[in-house]
Amino acid sequence: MEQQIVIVDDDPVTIKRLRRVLEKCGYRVAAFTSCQRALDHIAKAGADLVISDVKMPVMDGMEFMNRIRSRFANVEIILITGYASLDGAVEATKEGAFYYLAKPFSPGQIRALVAKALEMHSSRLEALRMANTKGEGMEFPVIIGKSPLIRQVEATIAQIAPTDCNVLITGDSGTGKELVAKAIHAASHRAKGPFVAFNCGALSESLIDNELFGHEKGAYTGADENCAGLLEEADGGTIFLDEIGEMPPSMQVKLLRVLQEKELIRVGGRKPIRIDVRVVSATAKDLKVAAAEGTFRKDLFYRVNVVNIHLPNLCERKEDIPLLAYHILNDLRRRGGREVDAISQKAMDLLTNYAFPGNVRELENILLRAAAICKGRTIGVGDLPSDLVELELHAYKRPENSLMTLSELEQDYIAHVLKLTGGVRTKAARILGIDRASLWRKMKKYGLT
Amino acid sequence: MFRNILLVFENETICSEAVTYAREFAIRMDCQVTFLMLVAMAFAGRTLLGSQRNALHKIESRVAKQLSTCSENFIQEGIEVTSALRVGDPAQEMLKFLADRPPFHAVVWGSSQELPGKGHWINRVTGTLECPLLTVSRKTAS
Repeated sequence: MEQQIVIVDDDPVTIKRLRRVLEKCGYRVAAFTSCQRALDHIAKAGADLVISDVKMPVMDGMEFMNRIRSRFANVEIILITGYASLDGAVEATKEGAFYYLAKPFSPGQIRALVAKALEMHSSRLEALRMANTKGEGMEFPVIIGKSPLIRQVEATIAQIAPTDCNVLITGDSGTGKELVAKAIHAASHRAKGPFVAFNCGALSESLIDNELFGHEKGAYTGADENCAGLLEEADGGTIFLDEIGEMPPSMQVKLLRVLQEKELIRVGGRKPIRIDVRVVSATAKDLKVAAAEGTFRKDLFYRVNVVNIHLPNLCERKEDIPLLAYHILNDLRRRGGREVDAISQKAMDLLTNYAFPGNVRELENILLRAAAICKGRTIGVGDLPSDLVELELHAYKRPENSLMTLSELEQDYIAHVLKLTGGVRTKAARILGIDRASLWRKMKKYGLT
Repeated sequence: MFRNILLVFENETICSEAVTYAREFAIRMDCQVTFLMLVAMAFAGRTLLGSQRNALHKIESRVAKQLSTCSENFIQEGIEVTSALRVGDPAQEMLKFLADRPPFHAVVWGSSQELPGKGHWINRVTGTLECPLLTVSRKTAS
């Protein structure tokens, strides 16, 4: 469907220029010289984006923007003016204008800005659509994202959920591993059965044993009655074993038996109990390496890793950030929280350029805090944590080949010796077993002078 | 669950940007922070053990002062902080330190705004980390 843009300006020349540029791009454009007529048109025909002049007779652009915001919360706004001032720009972005553009502007500038605004509009509508069609009334949340990496995860879930195979979900903290486990359960034929989650890294060995396998009366002091463990409780459903890489070796053996024999023995018990459970596990560790090193049982690794779903970090799917952000705000509103329905463009730029080591959970925490402290209905730059505004974060990934070359090693060692000798070259050369001239040449070569 | 991040310093150099970021991150993710100060010192060689003992005492007292000043702001925000000092070969000491405890969820380089040059030991260690290594720099006004 063609996207609809409404232009409001008291200058017919500007209207003509804008209309020509935007219609060439394939947008449907309606232009008005009066704010009231534009409002009436939006009420009747709707709009995706409004481009408005700031200085206009009768109703100025700021007032017009406030009216649009109160009546049509999902419409994006670009303010343009011939009287550009920093104060006006700050006020406009705080109030929720998508951008503030000073005249004169080039066709390229307006094209780029409109494309960006409409992309934001699509993200907002998509988040709203997801909240209305999938989220509400559903027991399980949905995977949010339109990036190829997330689409691939969704496709894998759809493919493997109806089967009964065990799944290993890998990914860093905060990427949504439990959410994926719930989605697998919800899409499986076990959906009506229980979904039981258990964190293997949070408890000691004996407590894990008791929690997972249950106990018989008299198994230990204080075990006054028979108690079913979580594996039994998950019978007919799915058990989600988070941080399976942290499971102690003795528990790995017991779990392996459950997976092989489909039966368990309670602590202090003798009689095997048959269970029908699908095991979905998750880890942030490289279990393959752990299995090769012997810290995780190989046979258990192959049992739990029938299908592997890897969840990408948020910084690998930056295009999903606007969608996720609006989804979080919609969710907050639905749960009766603050009525915040927009994020200023500058704030969104800060979010999309941040590395998010805490992944989606960090985005959620940032937005919940911002929504709590923001004064209007739009989250601005001032509502975001100061470190996002002032500091830049670089994340270094594990290099493909972590071994150093001989010259890197030499450079490293020379720098180390020089540091130890306080930069005294004669002393450093003596330790290194070379003459001063050779040391000088090497220092020059490696930029250590 | 995000539980623990590691802030690594080298040779008593502390970059304020990294400390600020670690504090803000710990607040919003509700996680613990561990400070690790690595000081390079060669023990094999011709230096007398007595003078090394003396140097160690001095390093310990200086680093204790630095790290306690650093942790004050964290503790005020209710963040759980642990500090450690390791003297020796930095790469070896860091790897031993990491191997001795549950994995960290992020490691922040706390001694400069950028990662030191290619030959620096931290680049060698990056390859063995189980989590991302982060550097923090101040944004330049654009």
